[in-house]
Amino acid sequence: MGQTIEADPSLVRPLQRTTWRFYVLCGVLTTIVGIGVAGYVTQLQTGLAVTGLNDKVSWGLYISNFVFFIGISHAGTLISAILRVSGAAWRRPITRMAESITVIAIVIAAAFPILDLGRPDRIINVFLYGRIESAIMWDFVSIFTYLTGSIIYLSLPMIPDAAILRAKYQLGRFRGFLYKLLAGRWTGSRLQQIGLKKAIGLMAIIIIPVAVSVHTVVSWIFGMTLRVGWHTAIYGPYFVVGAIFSGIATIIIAMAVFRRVYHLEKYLTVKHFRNLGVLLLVLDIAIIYFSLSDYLTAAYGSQTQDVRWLAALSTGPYAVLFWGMLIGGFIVPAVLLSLNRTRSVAGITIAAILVAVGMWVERFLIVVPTMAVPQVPFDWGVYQATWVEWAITAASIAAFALLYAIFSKIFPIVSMWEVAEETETISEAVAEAEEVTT
Amino acid sequence: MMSTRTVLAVCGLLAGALLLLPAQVDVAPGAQASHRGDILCPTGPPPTRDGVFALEEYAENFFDPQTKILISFHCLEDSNRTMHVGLISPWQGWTEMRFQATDEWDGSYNAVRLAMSGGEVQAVDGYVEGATTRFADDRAIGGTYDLIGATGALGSERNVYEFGFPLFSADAYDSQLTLNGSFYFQLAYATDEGPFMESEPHFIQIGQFISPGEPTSLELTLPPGGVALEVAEVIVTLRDERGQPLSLRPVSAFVQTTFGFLDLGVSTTSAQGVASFEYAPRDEGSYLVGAAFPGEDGHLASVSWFSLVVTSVGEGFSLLPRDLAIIQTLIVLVLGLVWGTYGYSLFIVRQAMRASQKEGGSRDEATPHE
Repeated sequence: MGQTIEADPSLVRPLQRTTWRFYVLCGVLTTIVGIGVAGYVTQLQTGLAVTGLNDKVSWGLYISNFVFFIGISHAGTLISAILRVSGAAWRRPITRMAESITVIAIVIAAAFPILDLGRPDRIINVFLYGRIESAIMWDFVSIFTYLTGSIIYLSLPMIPDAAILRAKYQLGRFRGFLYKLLAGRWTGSRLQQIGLKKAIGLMAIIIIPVAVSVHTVVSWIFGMTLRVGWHTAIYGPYFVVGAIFSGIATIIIAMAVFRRVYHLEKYLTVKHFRNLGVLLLVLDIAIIYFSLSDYLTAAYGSQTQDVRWLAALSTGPYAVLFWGMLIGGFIVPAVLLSLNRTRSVAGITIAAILVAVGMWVERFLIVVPTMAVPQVPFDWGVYQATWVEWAITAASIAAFALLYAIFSKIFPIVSMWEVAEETETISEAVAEAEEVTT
Repeated sequence: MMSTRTVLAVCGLLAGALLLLPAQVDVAPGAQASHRGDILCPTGPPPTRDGVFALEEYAENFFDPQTKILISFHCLEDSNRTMHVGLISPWQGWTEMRFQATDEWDGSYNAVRLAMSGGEVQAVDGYVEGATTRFADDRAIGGTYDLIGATGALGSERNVYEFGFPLFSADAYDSQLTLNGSFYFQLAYATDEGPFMESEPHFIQIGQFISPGEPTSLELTLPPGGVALEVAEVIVTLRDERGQPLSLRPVSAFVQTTFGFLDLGVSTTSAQGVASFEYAPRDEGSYLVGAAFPGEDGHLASVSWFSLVVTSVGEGFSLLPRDLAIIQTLIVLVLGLVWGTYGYSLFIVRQAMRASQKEGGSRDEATPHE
């Protein structure tokens, strides 16, 4: 990194050239976000009555989305931090994609608890009257800590790239300002390189337990509640594994999109897909194991409420979602990722899409059916999401894609200095080998 | 290798299938409450409908554990087959008795709604059709008001209602029971304008032989002034008609909360007919505490209510676990470590930048060459 780095023009090209397709995409995504904003304005004016939420099922799509987005934010932690700490060199082209997913996903996720409030202004009460005994308070602190850490962890490796872009490319005043701000006094000297690597290394180590704590705390919001289907010790690891699982799936989808759109086949190779595919398969098996353990324990105990809950899931109104999730979201991807024939880029991407959809359904099934089970001798809760909730859900996914697309137009989506460093390392190794041979 | 369109089509189909919304969940009927078998409706002289329960007025009753309403029955062998009903309800809004004279509970039912307003009882004779689940006053849909002498008494802890109605009515929207027929009934209540909370449907048979049921009484004793967070001992004494204690009988106790009743459990009475429960109210206020004996062969059910007034918060009590201070300290330390690491990482980078500046490096010089 530094003076000798040769930035690959193909990595800067997406920043220099923007086709009409990009603007169309942004237009479509902005429209969807706009519809979601209109839905939220309706909700603000009329109250939560415009949603399907009620006194029994008070958490619906909003909290399902919250858990889902917090889950995919773990992409950055696993792909970048764990692989960085473990010295896996193949991670280099995908670290920035992963880290940026983390930051964007947390920002989107953090909005959902506020959207779930009929009176969003009362979020201030968390600061005024927050109690340390409350899992909601733990959640707030851990998410804020994770977001801050993720922004730092994303920003530090962007310093050398920002310096390259500042010095060599004219990409407009706004981007020029950002590069200048980020690169600061970066010269690429040896001392700076040592300092930066040390800082990144420290952040990589600390961000892993923070990320694990975030999803553990999210799981505790459910697990600490004395409700059927929630009050189980398995929820901490179950949520963390599920989060990493959906995070990897999201990364694979992002890789497939950028590989095709930005022509990054040179950097995002079949090897990257296969390596991530193996990780996805391992986590798929783990999530199947956890699900089996969770449902089997409840079924074997056969307590009245457990039986009602399981019946609602397996043969009741949620059966299509439940079996769709197990088969379409867990088992089919496992098959696709296991067979050599389907372990292609397309096959792995299909598996990742199925996993992402399946994990969203899994979050929905954690939140809604459990709340619908009567805890007191009243009737079942009924939840039918309204257009407002669907519009906001669609808007959140569109906002995620929009922010990600914009990010890819401001910073190279593949870390230039890290892949250059890898090339240098390989060249040096080859030279050394040739020297020894000579 | 599949084409992109095929991939998108397959994913779209699967995603669509997975995202189907759940449908409404129906309560499964079929819970048959039993007072040593089916609930029977004995015959005899009619009770006095004065809003005051006399022990000997009703020969059969049933305590519903879900709504905490005690319902008493008494049938007459007159041409209308009049049934007299007595209700003790802890609910201040509407209390509703629903009944249906069909073989299975199908959701359509006759309904009697009762409430106390300004010291007077409000009684509505209505009908609900299963398909619409909409309540309608019988008179508004062409029927007649068939309730006989509905009375009520307002109590601080519970309301008492008494009324009669014909099991064999000329009104098409009322019950059409044959002699010795059977019917389902259900109890429900509404605390405000919200939906009615209802019990499971229960089953009744008319005119069957029943062993004489001796009335019972429950006495509920609570400390005069409770202290929040301190355990209040709820003492329940069960007696028979002659005032003799009934031992080895199950008695349940419960407390009304914002979200329904909190069951304190079931306890067996001692040789003195006494059972005790413990309850620690969290805050100041008035708590409606109830106890019930479900009845048995030879003894009728009984219920008793009492208000526990909690006036102050006890000293030395805390909602927090005793060792929470240690946990708090640990959390602060861990958070401090995390945020410290963030700060230290940024500090390292800042120092490295400044050190390079001192070394004389320049940004232009450091620019990578392409």
